[in-house]
This record gives sequence, structure tokens and C-alpha cells, in this order.
Amino acid sequence: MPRAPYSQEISRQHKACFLFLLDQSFSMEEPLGGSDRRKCDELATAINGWLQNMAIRASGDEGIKDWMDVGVFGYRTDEASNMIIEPALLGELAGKRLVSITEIGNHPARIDTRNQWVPADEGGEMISVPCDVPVWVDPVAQGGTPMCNMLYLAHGLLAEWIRQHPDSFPPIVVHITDGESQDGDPIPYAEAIRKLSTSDGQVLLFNCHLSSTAAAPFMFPAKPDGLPDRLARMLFEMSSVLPDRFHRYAAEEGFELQPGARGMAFNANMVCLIQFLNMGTQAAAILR
Amino acid sequence: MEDQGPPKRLRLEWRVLTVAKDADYPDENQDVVCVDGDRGAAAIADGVTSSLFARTWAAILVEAAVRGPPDPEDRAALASWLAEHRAAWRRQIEGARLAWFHKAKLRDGAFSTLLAIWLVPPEGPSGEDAPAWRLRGVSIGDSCLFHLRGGRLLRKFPIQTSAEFDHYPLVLGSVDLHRDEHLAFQRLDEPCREGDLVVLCTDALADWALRQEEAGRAADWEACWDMDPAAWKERILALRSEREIRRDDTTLALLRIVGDRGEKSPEEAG
Repeated sequence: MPRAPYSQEISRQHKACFLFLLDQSFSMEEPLGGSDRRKCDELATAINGWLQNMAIRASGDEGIKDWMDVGVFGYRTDEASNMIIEPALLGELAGKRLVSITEIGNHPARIDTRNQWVPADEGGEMISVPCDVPVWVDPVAQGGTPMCNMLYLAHGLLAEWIRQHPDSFPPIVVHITDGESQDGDPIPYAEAIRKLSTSDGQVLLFNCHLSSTAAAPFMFPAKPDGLPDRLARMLFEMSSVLPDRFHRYAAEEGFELQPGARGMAFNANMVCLIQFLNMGTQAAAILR
Repeated sequence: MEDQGPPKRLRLEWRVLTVAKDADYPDENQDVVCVDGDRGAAAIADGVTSSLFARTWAAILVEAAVRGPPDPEDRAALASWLAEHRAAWRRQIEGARLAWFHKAKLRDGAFSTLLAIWLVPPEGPSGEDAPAWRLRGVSIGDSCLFHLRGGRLLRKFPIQTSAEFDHYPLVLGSVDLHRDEHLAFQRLDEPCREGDLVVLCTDALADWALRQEEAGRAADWEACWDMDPAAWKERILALRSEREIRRDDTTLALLRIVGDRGEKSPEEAG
């Protein structure tokens, strides 16, 4: 029976791969639209939250199952305009390019304690209780935006992972930025990433633009026509068309998607960012 | 079978075959079956893999359901039934060494489907004209039952077509998240008789079986009765590699309704 693409189930034998590419340029110092926190702060919170949720989801009675590899990279330049493209994980995982979700869960850089609102045992009221909040990445905002070099490095990393996992669900790359590339046209580099494939389908590249203003967000557009500017249209060109499974998931989450919708968000606020991260990963990782 | 008139009582003989989602890690199998053959009661539960201590919860549910199934019509009794077994789950995990990811997950508890069946003797006169025994059941979630007679499928419960499978079926939670009013149990109450085969299975196998039936190739459950567990495992692994069946814990419980004649029932024997 011919296999539908993007149908490989995720298991120890067929691991998944999630790669996050984080813009750490100076403009990430600005507040995120609709928030009083800096974009880099909100981004670090969102990524830490994603890693926390994924480790929890992969955990079983005996520990965390080794079902996926995760990479988190940051890209920026220093004062002398030298590129800095490096893994963003801290603590024991510092410097590692791809790590298993088991390592992620077992080695947070630190565990902060914050009060969170949870349902009380009786009556359904919400109460504030101290909760462990593991941290793997901290906010960074410095220098320029060497996007092409970041995508080039990601291509090499993914090609190697695919050689080792030729029948896995294809890697999902989530790229989060707030501005234009400063080292060239990123579209050919994005195309090269999207052309990589496992036997289950081509690599998926999703792009999310963080807004400094409270402008209306564009989520999963199907055409470039209505997008507000050149940057938005560039990110559209860079982004993968959502496979059916992702399309269905996004629709179930309440998004009104047109055929050909792409894995792209523009003018994203914190809510959009978290929805975007969830869509990009939940749809693939149905771990029942 | 020698015809000696209608049986004095019915009971169950059974076989259970199971393969974990990751066949190399059978301890991670979250499907659980419990059968009390003499009492004619059985249950199957599918613990949700992504929840914590789900096998513990599934085991508590099937054992409780075989001892005395929940009564979905009586909401107070159902609440009491759930509270008792949720407390049992909490007692079992107390003292376990928990990492940060366990603590976070424990707030939501474990989740499991449940399908329980029991045989009910007829009310009224005994003898040749006695009314039929009843096969009764309750279900929450997507574990399934197939009732066969002479190899022919009589009924399916609670799911009728493969299109009904959902990634997020209804489940019973080990922690009261104040959503119990949404629990909608399905109920079964049909005649049954000696020789019938009742098949209980978890969703991956049920989904496969329904797709087979829809394609005009009904599953041969009778043939599974004599299947060696190793051969059955190989069959499931082959179906997985061919993408014919979802990679999930896969469990089959075959329950044969058999009749006892003349012997005293346990109750009569005192």
C-alpha cells in the first residue's frame, strides 16, 4: 500500500527532529507587540515552555522516552559584526547541536520557582501555587541578523540527521525572527532546507515573525497577495505548505485556513507565537 | 457438544494477546485486561500513553469494573465509584520518587478508556423456553467489543465504523478535574448464548478490524483463539511495518461463553 507522506508515527525506532532557529539580533530588545516584555524575553519563555511541555509529554512512569531530537540555535553578530551562530541551550547541554528529549528533560540549566494558577482540588476554583519552571535558554539580543548563514548551518545539520534517520517523520524547523536578513537573500537557503527529505516527506520549514506593534497578525496565509510588506512576502516564500495533518490540526484549533496555507505567522504576539509553536509540533507528535 | 438441555449457568473462558506500542518495551504497555470467568465478567482498559501511571490507573479500573461495574445512570453512585478508585490510584503512587516532569504531569493524573461486560442470567422460568441470558456492558472511550456467533459478527460496541475513531477519545481521569459531568457512557444490553465469542480489543486493533470489515475482509477472530502469542506478535509487527495498523499498544481479549450443566454454581456450593 503506498504510504501517505507525513504519516510516520514517532517512536524510539523512528525519532522526530525539531529544530528551532532563534533570531537573537539587537532588535529583539524591543517590546513584543501587545506585551511590556522584550521580544527576546517572550521568545525564551515560549521556547522554555515548549521544551517543558514536550519533555512532560514524552515522560512515562520510568522517565522520558527517547522519541525525538531537539536543537535550539541562536543567531546574531558581535560588536565587530562577526557572526555568532551557536546552540542556545545552557547548562550541561551547552554547545550541543542536537540533543534527545530525554537529555532535555533530565538536564534543565536550572529550575526556577514561579507561582502559577491551577485548579483547586475541590470546587474548581483557581489557586496560586508555586511550580517548578525548568529553564534551558535565556534571552539574548545583540548585533545583526545573519539569517542566511543560520539556514546554511541548519541545512548541514538536518542533512546529517536525515542520513541517520532516513525513514523518520521529516524534521520540523521553526524559525523565529523579527526582521530582515542582513547577509543576503534567505529564500534559496530556505528552499534547500525544504528540499531535504526522509522517505516520509520533505523537511518542513515554518517561519514566525514577531511584531513590535499591535498590528493585526497574519496566521497561515495561503497567498502572498494580502501580506503587508516585502518581509512578510519573503517569509511566505520561505515557508512550507502545511501538510494535511497540520492543516487539520490548525483548523481544529479554530484557524480559518485556505487550501495551500503555509506554516507562517506575521506580526505575531505572544499568543500567536505559542499557538504557532504548538501547531508546528502537536500535529506531528500525537503521542497517545 | 453433548446436548443436555440449556446450561445451568454461563461463564467465560478466555485468552489474552497483547503487544506493546514499542514491542521491545513490554513493561510500557498501558493496556490491561481483567477477567473473572466464573462470574462471567471482564473488562479492558487502554491507559493513555502520554499520561503518567496510566497502567496503574487502567489496572485499578478493570479490576474494579469486574468486581462491580460503574452504574452510569446513578450519578451519585458513579461519583462514589470514581472517588474510591481515584483514592486507590493516589495511594499506589505515593512515595514514588518524582522528577520535575513527573510532578508537572501528576496534577492532571492518568487517563484511560474502560469497557466492561458481564453476563446476566435470565429472569423468569428456566428450561427450554427460558429467556436468553444477557450480555451487558458499559464503555467510555474507544476500546471495542465484537460479538460473534458461529464465526458471524452479530454486533459491534460502542464504535460502528473506523471513521468514528478520534485522536482524543473520552477517557476516565485518575484525578477529579471537575469534568465528570461530561462522561457519557455507552451501554450494551443484548441477548447472548453458549458458544458465542466476545472479542474485546483496544483501539488500534479495533480500527484495523473495522477497516478490514469495511473492505469486505472480516477479521477471523475464531482463528486467533489457537494462535501462539509469539505468532500473534509477529502478525501485529508485520501489520505495523506495512502501515496496516497504528503503532500503539495492541490488545485482544477473546471471551468464549461456555455453559455449565448440573454442576453447582459457586454461590450454590456456598
